[in-house]
Amino acid sequence: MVFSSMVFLCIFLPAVFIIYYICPGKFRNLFLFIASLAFYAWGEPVYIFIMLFSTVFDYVNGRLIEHFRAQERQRAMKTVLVVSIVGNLSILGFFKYTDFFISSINHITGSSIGLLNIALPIGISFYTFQTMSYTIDVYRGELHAQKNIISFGMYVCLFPQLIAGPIVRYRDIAAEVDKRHENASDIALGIYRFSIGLAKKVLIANKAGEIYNYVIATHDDNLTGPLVLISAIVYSIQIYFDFSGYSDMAIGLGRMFGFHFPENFDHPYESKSITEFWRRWHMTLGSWFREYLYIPLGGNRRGLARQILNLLIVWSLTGLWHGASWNFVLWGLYYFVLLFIEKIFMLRVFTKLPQRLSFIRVLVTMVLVMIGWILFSHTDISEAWMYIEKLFSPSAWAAGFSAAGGNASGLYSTLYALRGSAAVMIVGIIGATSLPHRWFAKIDAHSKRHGQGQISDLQMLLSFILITLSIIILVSAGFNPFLYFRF
Amino acid sequence: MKKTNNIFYIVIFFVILLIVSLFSVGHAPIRVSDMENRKLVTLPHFSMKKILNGSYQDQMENGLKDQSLIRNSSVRISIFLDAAFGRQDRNGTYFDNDGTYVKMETDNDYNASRVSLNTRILKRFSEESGRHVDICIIPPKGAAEPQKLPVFAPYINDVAIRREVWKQIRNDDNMSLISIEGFMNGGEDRYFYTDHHYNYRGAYLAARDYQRSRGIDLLDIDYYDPVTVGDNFHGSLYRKAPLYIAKTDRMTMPSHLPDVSIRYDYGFDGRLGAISSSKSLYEPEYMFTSDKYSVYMGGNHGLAVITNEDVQDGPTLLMIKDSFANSAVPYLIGSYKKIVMIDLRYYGGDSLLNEVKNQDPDRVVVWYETLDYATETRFAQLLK
Repeated sequence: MVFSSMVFLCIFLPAVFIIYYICPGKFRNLFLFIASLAFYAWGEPVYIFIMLFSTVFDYVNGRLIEHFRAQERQRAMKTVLVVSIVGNLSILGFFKYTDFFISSINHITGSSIGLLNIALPIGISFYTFQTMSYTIDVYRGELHAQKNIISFGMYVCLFPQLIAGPIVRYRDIAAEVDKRHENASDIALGIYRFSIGLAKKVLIANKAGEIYNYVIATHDDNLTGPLVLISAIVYSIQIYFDFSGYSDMAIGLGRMFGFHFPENFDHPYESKSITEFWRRWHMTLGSWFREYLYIPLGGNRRGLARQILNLLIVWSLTGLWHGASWNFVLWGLYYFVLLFIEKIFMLRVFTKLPQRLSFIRVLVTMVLVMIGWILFSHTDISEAWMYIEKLFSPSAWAAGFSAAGGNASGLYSTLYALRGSAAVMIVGIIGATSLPHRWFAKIDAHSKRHGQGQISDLQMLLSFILITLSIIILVSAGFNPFLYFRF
Repeated sequence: MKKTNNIFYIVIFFVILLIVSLFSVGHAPIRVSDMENRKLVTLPHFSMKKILNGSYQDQMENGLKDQSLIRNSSVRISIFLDAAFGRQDRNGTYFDNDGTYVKMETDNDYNASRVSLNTRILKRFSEESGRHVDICIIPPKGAAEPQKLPVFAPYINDVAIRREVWKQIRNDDNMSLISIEGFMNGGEDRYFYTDHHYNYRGAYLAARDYQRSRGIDLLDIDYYDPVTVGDNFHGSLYRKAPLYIAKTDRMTMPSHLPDVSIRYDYGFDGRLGAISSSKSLYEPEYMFTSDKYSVYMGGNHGLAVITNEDVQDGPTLLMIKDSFANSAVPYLIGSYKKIVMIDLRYYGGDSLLNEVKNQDPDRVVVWYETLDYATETRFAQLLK
């Protein structure tokens, strides 16, 4: 199931919310667990058992570690930890990376082993990382193991963040798993956050996606420099509003049920360096890799050479986590190289730049990020390279302004793509900054508030407008004319 | 009113969701959408099997959207917003601010090499069959009336395609590219507003240009005393992007046509069943379906042999065609004893080459709209 769907908005959410708040407190975890299972099963009726297995597996592991800690059996504790990590990574590896592995072997050795065509269970990259963080934290003594399997199951399967994050470590919400203090303020602010996220996804991300699909449908021969640039800008907008919109909805939904999830995005496109970008983009993934891979490997505390190796490992795996394809690994390595350069000398160069020229840094960072997205969006690396080439090719740019051919000219294709995407680009670029938030806060400071923690009149109005528009667009997106009459 | 904003907000939020869901589930199922010309998805019945294979979930989601009472308005609002923000195309059609549609035909839709290839195949066909072949390519609306395209809209270079065809055949005495000068200078009102075909007047101009190339003058269009058989309808392009301001079209037929008898054979794409013979070039029942253009000859047939019963004898014309020929034929039949129409998509016989030889036409014409000509992959069948 997906948040931006009729089933979720009209059936699932109202039903779950009402039943949850009718339920007496001690049954609420059980109900959320069952509801989350139903949410997951809706999209994944068969593979739900893998998630259940993962849940029981790490529940048992967590309790075993604590049991062995009480008996001061260090080695047994460590064994269980290793079993947990190996088990989780094996599940993830098998379902997500088997065919990647096989086709890579085929490519290198020229063999032709058949692909297994295993379907990827939804959310597996998220819930395996979440359960691993749990067992590692129990092992480290940062957490007590959760004794109630229902509560633990609820944590693993919790529907707000199950499909697309944020990656919520158990310790982030340990207290709330056992006891939440639901209140009207959290519910209202949660609904508000959810409506913002919904609008980001349906009104901006989906529109940007339509334009992106329109532009990349262009034949390679007709692809000009301006078209590539427009597609890169529009994709950057799409992926940010899609992903951050989902995180907003997840955080908002969590809040409606008394959970306070960590933030996942902090206006990443305002970053003045790649280093800063990765502290603002998909923050929960970055901190997961830092906490459970980079620091255990030694971080920056074993000398420069080791630090570079650690970064290389972390970034290759970060890339690989995003998808079972070499372009993602390349994308990760791309950032490794940029971060390395920044670490070695670029950051020092940057700080020498006067404040008022810091917008140059934002622009440079954005260009680098956009190039990264080109690599990210094409699983065919040669195609990604063609796009990047055309972005910087004078002849491809000249073609985009050539008026030869009238309506069939490169100039027309550029101008039409521009007129169709201008609105989305303007809204997307402004919306990606913190400006709208600050403007709104300024205006809102004057609007009537009826008390602390109350949603303001202006927020309510904005929220209702966004929800109505989003639903209209959602309903119309099912529009599917029968294209029978081709001639 | 103190401290109630939150409760008020929460309640209204869920009331909105409840109203939206009632729009979808609170009424008897709607089966058909006239606007979209298809059956609507209805809410599914519970079935474990369907849940396991995912079709229940898809049907539920699509059913909730299809059954929503705000569906048609949502689509129109959504297109309006798109247009307000600069997008004047959707689902493969352009639309302009006065409610006229132009089907989107761009460089991405065809391969220049196919144009030359098709022309060379037709040259060989001309040699194999021993007939003179005319190529009559009709420009699409965006090429003939570029002012109807949205500003900067990408569109095929019709002139370049014609030039390519011309290049291939100019030294061949047995091939001709028909000049459509009369059509191009024919002023406005040559195409439907909401369909990509030319209307009765455009068809007349095209037919007249063809006959002129044969040295025959068609009678004036007024002779045909055009009759309106349907008014206020929306054609196929409207369905891709329904606009509040969309123009409506009128279906007009020429009258004073000769008596004809028609034999149909092989496949067809009509909705009223295979018509194997007919005494009329029109099937008016199609005005009551959503495919109005099929009023002309009931749509496309693999083979149609039209005999002019008003004359004892006369020449035979063979047309290799797409749907654009269907509305031009009424103006042509008066000058021939027999017109044979072959639609390569539906022809089911063994050998087209033999069919052509058996029909023994005096002339062969390939009658296509430009993009259809540029993308046709079946001309090679003529060599079999």
